[in-house]
Amino acid sequence: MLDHQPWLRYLQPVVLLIVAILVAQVVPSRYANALVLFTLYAYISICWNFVGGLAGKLSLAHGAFFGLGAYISAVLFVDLGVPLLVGGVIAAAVVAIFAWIMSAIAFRRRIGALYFALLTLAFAYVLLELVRQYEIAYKLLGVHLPLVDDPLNLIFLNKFNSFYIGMVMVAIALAVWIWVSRHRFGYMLAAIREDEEAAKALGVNVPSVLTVTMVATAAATSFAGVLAAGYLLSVEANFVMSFEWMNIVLAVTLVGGLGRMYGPVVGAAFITIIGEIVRSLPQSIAAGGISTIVYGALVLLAATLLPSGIVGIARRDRELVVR
Amino acid sequence: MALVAEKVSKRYSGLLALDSVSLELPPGRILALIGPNGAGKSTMFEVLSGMRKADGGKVVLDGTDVTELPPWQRCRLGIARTFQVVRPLAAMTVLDNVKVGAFVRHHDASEAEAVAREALEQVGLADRASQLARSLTLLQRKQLEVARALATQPRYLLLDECFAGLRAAEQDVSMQLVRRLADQGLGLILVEHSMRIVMRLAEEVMVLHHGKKLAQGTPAQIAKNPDVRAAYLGARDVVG
Amino acid sequence: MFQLITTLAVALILEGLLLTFFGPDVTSVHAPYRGAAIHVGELSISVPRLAIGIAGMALVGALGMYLHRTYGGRAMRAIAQNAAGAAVVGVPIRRMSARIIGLSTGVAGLAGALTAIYLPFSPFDGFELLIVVFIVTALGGLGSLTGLVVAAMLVALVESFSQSYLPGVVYQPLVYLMLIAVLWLRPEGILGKGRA
Repeated sequence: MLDHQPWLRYLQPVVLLIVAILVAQVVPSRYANALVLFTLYAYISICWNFVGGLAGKLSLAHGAFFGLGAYISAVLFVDLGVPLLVGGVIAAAVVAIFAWIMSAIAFRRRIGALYFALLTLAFAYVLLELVRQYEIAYKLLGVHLPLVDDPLNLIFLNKFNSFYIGMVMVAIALAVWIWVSRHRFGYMLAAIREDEEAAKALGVNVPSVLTVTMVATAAATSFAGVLAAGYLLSVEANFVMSFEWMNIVLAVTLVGGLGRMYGPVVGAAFITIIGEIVRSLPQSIAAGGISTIVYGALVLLAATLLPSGIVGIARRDRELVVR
Repeated sequence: MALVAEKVSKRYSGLLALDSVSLELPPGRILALIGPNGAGKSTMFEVLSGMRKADGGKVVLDGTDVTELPPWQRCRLGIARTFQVVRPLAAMTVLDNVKVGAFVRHHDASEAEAVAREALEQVGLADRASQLARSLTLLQRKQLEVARALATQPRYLLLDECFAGLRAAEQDVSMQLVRRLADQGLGLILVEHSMRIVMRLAEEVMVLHHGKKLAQGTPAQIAKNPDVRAAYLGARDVVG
Repeated sequence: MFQLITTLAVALILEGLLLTFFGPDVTSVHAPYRGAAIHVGELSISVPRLAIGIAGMALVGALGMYLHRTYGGRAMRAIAQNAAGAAVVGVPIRRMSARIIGLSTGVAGLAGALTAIYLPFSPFDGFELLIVVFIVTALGGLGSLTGLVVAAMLVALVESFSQSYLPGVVYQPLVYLMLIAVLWLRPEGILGKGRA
């Protein structure tokens, strides 16, 4: 299974990036929004896939990590003039601390899959509540970034530029996936997913490996929030911290292929298209809950009927992480 | 230089599974741990390998006190084990399963792969390297467990009922492997129920009963020991 | 993992349906008996609350009787302890499992209906209550009805006192903080149930 020219694999994300840029040249600008959303969905889901797909742990907190990254960087930018990217690093550090605390509780003791999921859900809601309380305390209805072309702060008048940045992030995330799944760390994660006790007996420091994965993916996910802040320009608690993002990540990853390298990319394409369809429905039908129902239904269908996702149908056991 | 359990005790909510049992395993020795079900054999493995913490006593590995150390650190220090009910990493290939073990001492992927292939050669699974672990037969799964443990390049290997469920011919193949490993300098503890295997393979036998050490000696001595016969072997003469 | 995801998806779909048909606002039932109260000396006990409390305890009692005195209940407990063993003695696993889910869902729905008599509700309450449920099970121990009742009372008391004595910023996320605290301090009761 070992390629004789392993570096060729790293060309894949580069090719994907180039193709995406070329495709964007011919896409009408009314689809620019969908393209940006696609990159956000894909990137966050790839980050989540390390925990959910490789390590086999159902984390429900990553949506909140994304939202917190968006919110903190936006607030620092608007209120204190901190450049968005610098704010993003600070936000990532804050998110990492929360993720670390969560990991300390989750992984130092044996708490089981159900309570792990609930713990992450609890953290997600605590973070949501913290941001809400912040808004109440400062009587805010969200933070608003100025619409001026400001590339260093990821604010672009041309939406396609946000798309290009997003695609670069996706390509980097894919490259990291390639590296992890071929090296020791990926094998340790897969072993943990398959049989945690056996992994311990095989020299895998389970709590440590899981903590590193959780903290790293949390910080990485929060960077997507920075891109989102620069793109959306209006960052409100009820939007960025909504559980809808987590719902989308689950739909994207499960439909695309849990634990598969291109699962999130394929899933994100699918979900983005569905999302556009839902958004274009007449208002009477598209009341607040429709998107939740649609994404929830997709998660349900994927989990029960198509556990290996679209990528799973197409490929057969070629990757490390097979279902 | 030995794997030593010093007066180890273990309680499971009131039940004393191990009562101050001591054990010493030098490199290259094959020690069989026998006893009726519930005697404490698997518990001893759990405590030696670090899956469970001892409630009393010490575990010392080549002079280092490992009693407080978690299983992965003990693995790095040289103790490996197989499980009574095999635990393959089902969705991964045979080679990948063993690579996980190899990664303990070799952080480079191609080195780990080489070590893994060698371990597969030793147990005879080399041609099944790209098969999924879940598609293996019971014997193959047991071989996989051993290969995986071997890939961690241990000094001491704990084999938990690795012959159970195998036909006589399969058992002979496995026995040869165990003999080879001991000749290479590995210290082995076998938990076994089959007297046929114990008598032929073990250099030393320890009998546990209700968590206590009942007897210890060569297979011949144990077979003649009246307490052992009464508790475990029954009245029949099994020295063969 | 897929089991967890499936039930989560169902919960999300249900929440979405509620949002679509009823909107996101908090509503409550306006009934003439809402304010009814019994006066015992200086105390004023709200009749609806009393009724809900009694009904709730009756429900728990009935559930307890079902689980311990009927074949169905015992079959369910058997499956929880050892599914293979239960199958071997003739318990129809799939049918019983479906019944378990049906029963627990029904009881939950009934509890919701009871609570709606007095307390306001919104489509978003589901997840918050889920956390409370798991705090109670974590504290009270899976499988012990008495333990659950005691734990439930404890959690309810903490919630009530916190509302009066803690600042808003701590009270809002209280249940989530409680779960985190319980998992940190008392994980022994929470070993994943075997294959769960």
